[in-house]
Amino acid sequence: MIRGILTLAGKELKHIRRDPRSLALLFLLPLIMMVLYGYAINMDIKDAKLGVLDSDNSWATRQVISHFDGSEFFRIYKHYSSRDAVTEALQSGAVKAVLIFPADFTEDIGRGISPKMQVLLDGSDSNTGKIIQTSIQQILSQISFGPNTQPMLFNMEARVWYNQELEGANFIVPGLVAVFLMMIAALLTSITIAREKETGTITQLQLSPATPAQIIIGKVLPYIVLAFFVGLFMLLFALVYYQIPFHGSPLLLAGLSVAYLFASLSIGLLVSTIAKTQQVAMAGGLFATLLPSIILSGFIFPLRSMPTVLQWISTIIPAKYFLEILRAIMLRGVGFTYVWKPFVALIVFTIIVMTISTLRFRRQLRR
Amino acid sequence: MKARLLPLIKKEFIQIFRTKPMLGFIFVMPILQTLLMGYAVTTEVIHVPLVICDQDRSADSRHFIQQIEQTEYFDIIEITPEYEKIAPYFDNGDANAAVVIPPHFSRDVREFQTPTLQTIINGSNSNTALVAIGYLQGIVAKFGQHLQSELVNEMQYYGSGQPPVTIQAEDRVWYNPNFVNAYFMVPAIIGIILAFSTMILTAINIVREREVGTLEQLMVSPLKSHQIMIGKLVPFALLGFVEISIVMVAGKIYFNIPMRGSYWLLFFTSFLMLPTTLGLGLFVSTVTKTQQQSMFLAWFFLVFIILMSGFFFPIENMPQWLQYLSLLDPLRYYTDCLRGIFLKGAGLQPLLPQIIALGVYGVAIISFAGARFQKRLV
Repeated sequence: MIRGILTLAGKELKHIRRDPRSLALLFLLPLIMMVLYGYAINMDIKDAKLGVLDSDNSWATRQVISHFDGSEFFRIYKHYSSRDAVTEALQSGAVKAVLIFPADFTEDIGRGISPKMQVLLDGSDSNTGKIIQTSIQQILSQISFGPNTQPMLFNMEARVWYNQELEGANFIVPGLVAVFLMMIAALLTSITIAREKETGTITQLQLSPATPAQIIIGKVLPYIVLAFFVGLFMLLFALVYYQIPFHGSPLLLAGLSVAYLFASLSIGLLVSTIAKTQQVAMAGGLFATLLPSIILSGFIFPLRSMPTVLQWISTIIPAKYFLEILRAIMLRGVGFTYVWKPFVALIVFTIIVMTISTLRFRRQLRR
Repeated sequence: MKARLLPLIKKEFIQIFRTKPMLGFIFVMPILQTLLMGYAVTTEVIHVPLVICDQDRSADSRHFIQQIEQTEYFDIIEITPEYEKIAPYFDNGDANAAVVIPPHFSRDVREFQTPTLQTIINGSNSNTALVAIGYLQGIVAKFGQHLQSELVNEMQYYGSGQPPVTIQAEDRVWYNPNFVNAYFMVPAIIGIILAFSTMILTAINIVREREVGTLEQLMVSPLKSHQIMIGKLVPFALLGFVEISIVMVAGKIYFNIPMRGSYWLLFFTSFLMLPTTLGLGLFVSTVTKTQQQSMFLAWFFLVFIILMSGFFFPIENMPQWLQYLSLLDPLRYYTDCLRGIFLKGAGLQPLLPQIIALGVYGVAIISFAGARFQKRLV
């Protein structure tokens, strides 16, 4: 029984060794991606470009403008002299918003009434647009003209736990590890069986004395080991290059990662029992892993902001659970008692998907 | 010439349509992607789970809690007087924010002792944390105003002097006044689908023919090498147009995406984008030996050009060196065109730089990849 598995695993290992280019890509691509993504995924807005149309041009308007120029959020990009120029600037995307001061801005202040102004915003990027709108409102609300400044009634102290510097990489990079592991593990397995089918060598497996379960374990084992090393490699890189803190136990993480690898591989197996050619297997593997793991796992986009239906769907995405585990152990440094729930979810997922694919595979072998 | 090309193109279509699951991917995937991205790709932060530690239990603290309840930004999961109860919620990941109202808060305010309200945020997700802090500051500021008016009523505190004036700003949001996420995402999906279907399929398809050996059969046929190339590329170009039409129809029907510009310009820019993606697919096919390798490499190119295109993440937020790098990304210019045409009704003139860039990249990439491909054929 074990010998049969080992023989198959050895054969698969030869496949991997014979294709050093793929093997190199397997380690190199995640590396490049991690460097790019760690920097590129950045939602906080800095130096958003503002335009100004100032028909008043007085001490008061200059004071307002300097409030914006002084904040790290905004940068005054250009002063415009006509409405048409403003329209063109918004349309070409040169500025994100324009502050428009009417000619009687200062006059109103002198008369003791609230001066009026207009803010034009480019709403096409809904996410950025909304953030820019609130921050403009926030800055404007802090400005007041007049003799009486009111005393503070109370202070507000904001504390941040776990990631005090609000370092984006600390959040994104562990997520990258989860997404890439899923893709690599699922893709590799989905291709192996499809390749046997395409080249016709599946008949040899049918004739062999190995049982379907042995064949599956034998085929999957080398990839589990391989994916484990890729994952380890990525994590080490994250720790060294990005200096991501690791507050929890590495051993616990290693143990729980294996559960995640099995879950990913089981998806690959399922795809490969459906696909007849490598091409279909790849497309299916990509489709079943790439988008859901990036979008529905809480990797970047907060799940709680999504429609309920999508939140339900996210409960069958293994990457979601592994992300919870990764972030809990690395950033919050908690122990097993806090992460057993996602762990159990991964196990249940693996058992269900593995059973389905073994059954399907057995039927295909008999034919 | 034409008589030779047509059968080749026809053969390619027969091959595509013969693989049923592939057909499913080609037609179902764009629709699913449109739905998924239209809904899910949101960086909006709402329903942040929040614990309130109310050690004051006064009318003021109740008013404050009410103000938090009224927003959809936070979901209050527990109100407790015990400070120690907060940490377990955070460790479990059940709460991402907390507010602590200290004992005697209400009394201290009235005695001008300036007590301190404490807010705690789970910083692991730096993006949502920043936004949540902003929301809390807004709510606290409002609460401050409320307290001030209370004090004025209670003790006639600010009796004298002219109150300071604040600015009355009127916001006008152009192009997407309700900040509908799908309006921004769905036009850009067109670019991704086009890149995916033309680049990856082209690469894998050619490598497969080489792997199975049927490319050699084409080589010994009377077809010239550039004819073989065109015969390989045209079907996928047509397929690309079918795919983007599917996305457009799905976006129109499902999300009611406004189309403020011209369809002609849209198709023109799409046409300009094709040589780039087809060329990249062709290039991948010339540097890889197996389908697996070509898929890895094509996938890498795809992820790279999607990331750098500003599809998910605004390019302005990236570090400067990445912004320069993004100038190399053809999809960036196409995405600009798509969003500009759909949402802003942009015409030829504002998009001219993008269109020129697309044209230059297209010619450069397809000629480079084409030369490599033909050299390998001969």
